[in-house]
Amino acid sequence: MNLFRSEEHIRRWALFDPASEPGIIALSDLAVLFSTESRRHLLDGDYLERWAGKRWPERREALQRIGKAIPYWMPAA
Amino acid sequence: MLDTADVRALDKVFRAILSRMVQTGQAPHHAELATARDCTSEEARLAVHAIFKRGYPGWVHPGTDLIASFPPLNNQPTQYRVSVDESQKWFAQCGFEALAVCWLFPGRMVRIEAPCLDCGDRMIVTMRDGVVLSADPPTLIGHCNSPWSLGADPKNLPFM
Repeated sequence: MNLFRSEEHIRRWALFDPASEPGIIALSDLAVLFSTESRRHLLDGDYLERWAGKRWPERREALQRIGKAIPYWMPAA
Repeated sequence: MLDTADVRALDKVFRAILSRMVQTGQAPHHAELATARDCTSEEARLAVHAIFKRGYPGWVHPGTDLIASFPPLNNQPTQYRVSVDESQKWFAQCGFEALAVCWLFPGRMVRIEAPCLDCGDRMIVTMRDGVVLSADPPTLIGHCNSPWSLGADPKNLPFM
């Protein structure tokens, strides 16, 4: 899971897998995916008990919001 | 005694690990955790493994008990260097997790700097509280080379 200077750089990368075209994602969308509520509570002291289990459900919801609710990104329910 | 089946006990260890990484950029050894948590070194060692076995997507270095990755930070250096208020002492687990590091430093400007894997040229993202303040170059973009959905299964995490 990497950052690149542009889409062209992704496709020129020596290890680029052509099957990973759906894995290209805008920076603004990544910021949404990595700003879900549980992320804000990592240091609260009850992260494992209260927040860790919400990680993937939140991701599913965020993926819907950014239009990435496709099998490449969505975990099985 | 630290019971690794007790999630509240694990939460104390979790917070001790992450707090130390936030403060210093480095993960503690389990023997140091034992002192901080008033448990035995063996209990602390088992607690570290138990946190990852619960599905938290980090890992120890293969064949050891040394914390290598504790997202969003990494103890083992990666190409994703993170600076806070111009002090660079952190590494992100990956390019995606780098964007979540700002939540460990609320209200502060976090700078992510990395070389592009294609050309090696520098990329910089600055963030505060989940907001991207700048991206250089503006065309900067993310990529997942294998289905991200695989990460939902702890079996697919490296070194677990």
